[in-house]
Amino acid sequence: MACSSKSYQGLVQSQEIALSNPIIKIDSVLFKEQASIRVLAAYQDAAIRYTTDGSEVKATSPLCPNLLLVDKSTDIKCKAFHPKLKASETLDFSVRKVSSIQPEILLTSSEAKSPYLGKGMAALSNIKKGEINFKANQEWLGFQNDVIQFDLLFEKAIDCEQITLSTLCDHNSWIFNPSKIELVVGYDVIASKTIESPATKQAADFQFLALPVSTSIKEASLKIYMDNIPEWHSGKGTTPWFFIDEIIVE
Amino acid sequence: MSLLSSQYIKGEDLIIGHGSHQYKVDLHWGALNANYYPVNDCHEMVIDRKGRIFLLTNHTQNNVLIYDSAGKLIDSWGTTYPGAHGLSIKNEGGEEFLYIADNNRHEVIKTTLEGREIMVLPYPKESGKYENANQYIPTETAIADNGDIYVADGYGSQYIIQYSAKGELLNIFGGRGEENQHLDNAHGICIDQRDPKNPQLLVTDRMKNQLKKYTLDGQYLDKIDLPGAYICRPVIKGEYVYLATIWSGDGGSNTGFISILDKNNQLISAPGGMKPTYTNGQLNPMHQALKLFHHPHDVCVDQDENLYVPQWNAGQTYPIKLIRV
Repeated sequence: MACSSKSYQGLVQSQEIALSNPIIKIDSVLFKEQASIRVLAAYQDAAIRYTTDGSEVKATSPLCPNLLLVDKSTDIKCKAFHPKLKASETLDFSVRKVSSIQPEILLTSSEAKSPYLGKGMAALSNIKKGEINFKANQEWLGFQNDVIQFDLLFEKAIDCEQITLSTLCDHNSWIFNPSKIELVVGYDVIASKTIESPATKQAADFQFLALPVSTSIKEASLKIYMDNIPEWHSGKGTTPWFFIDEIIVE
Repeated sequence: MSLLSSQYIKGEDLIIGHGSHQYKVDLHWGALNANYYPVNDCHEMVIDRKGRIFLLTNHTQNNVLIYDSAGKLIDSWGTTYPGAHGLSIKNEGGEEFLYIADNNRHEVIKTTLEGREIMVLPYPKESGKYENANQYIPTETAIADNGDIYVADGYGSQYIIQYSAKGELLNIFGGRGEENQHLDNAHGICIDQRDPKNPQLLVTDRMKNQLKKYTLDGQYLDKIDLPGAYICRPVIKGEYVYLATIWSGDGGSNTGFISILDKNNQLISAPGGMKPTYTNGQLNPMHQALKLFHHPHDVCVDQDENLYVPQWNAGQTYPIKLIRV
């Protein structure tokens, strides 16, 4: 073994190196009939395996097809494997089926705050997502209020499984998730969800906040409560931004 | 020593790259004692006639570290280049000189290999394109055989500025805009003499994932699309163009790899990246394939066609050597 002034540490071995994440291309995250997702391994000969039941992806999980067709709301995890290399990290993503019957949505609390006015209320049901670079397009509605309320008016009563809010969380831009979401019919809270306050700063990401409903509704109010920004953030004690681009009725 | 040997698990040397250009990886090649020879970002590297390898870092304890091919440190100098970013070398009448592009000083500085300053080029005020030095953040230089100095203002106003060897302003072109001759993050530049009758400039347009070709007097000629590849500067050795690719795919952190183009400017090998494929003459979007590189910032090629890769924002790590196989 050659000795030099540096201790010999050798060449990189295959088994020390991990694969990069699978590459995915989703035609539409929000869909009415079907979503198609292309899944590709960056490293030639790597195998992509996946789960759709929320369980961790293992080397024994089924192989993911190059084209994954999905006709219901699904949370997918996928991971790349190769016999000579370390597996990749797990890539998590979701696609959401939107009911064909969408409500008329009215905003009954304060207005969205300029310049994040979306394309008005229509943006909330147009199945077009905003981008993480939220200034790039007009799909996001931005609010800076303690309570934001939307009224949902259906043409006729529908059986609603859940209502999902498609939101953006970007702590660097003072955009936070709500602390609580309620669905109210008349004076009754028929569904409620609390969301834990984040303990640390998180990277910018889309969030789907799902509120299980499992009942028939024709008119309901969606109330979104915002806590003040937590202690660990430079904006502590102030009202954060809330960004929403879709209200999805499933 | 024998105890270590008995614990050593025989593995397989990783080989990266594709086709004719494949490499084994020595992550420790450039490693030094950070108490004595620290680095921040390792930006660029060049090699002199004697085979000595010069590394430029923006750490002002030693902006320039000089290695031999085995990775042993020979010398160091430089304490006045806080924004040390671009490094070129040129043989001028038998003596070699370095050209440092400094982002913070808003200047290009010509030095000897020992670090003596010969000439300083401040921002090109007389061009009328700049109100002040802050708009000029030069990233790279390329030196023509007649001594003309081309400077890429890749973090500033996106112009390419041409000076004579004495520092007189000759031409200014490129800049921001929507047309083909405009640039968005003109990070690198080199002189392409692979066709000796038809020398050209190759300029990086990093945000568009393109290399752009210009005549030596600044006429736009053509572009080379490298979708998904956020390339740094082009480095030509023989018939091939080597490009550190700092990000890939959607441009997220730690997604870098190396790109190698052939004489037709086709991507033929991507060490650390996916195998390059073309459909109907268009390169399919590129992505990192192995979590090996963080943010490669330059490629230096030695006489044996080994590669040396310094990295930006990589935890103050030293350059990696890729050994041609």
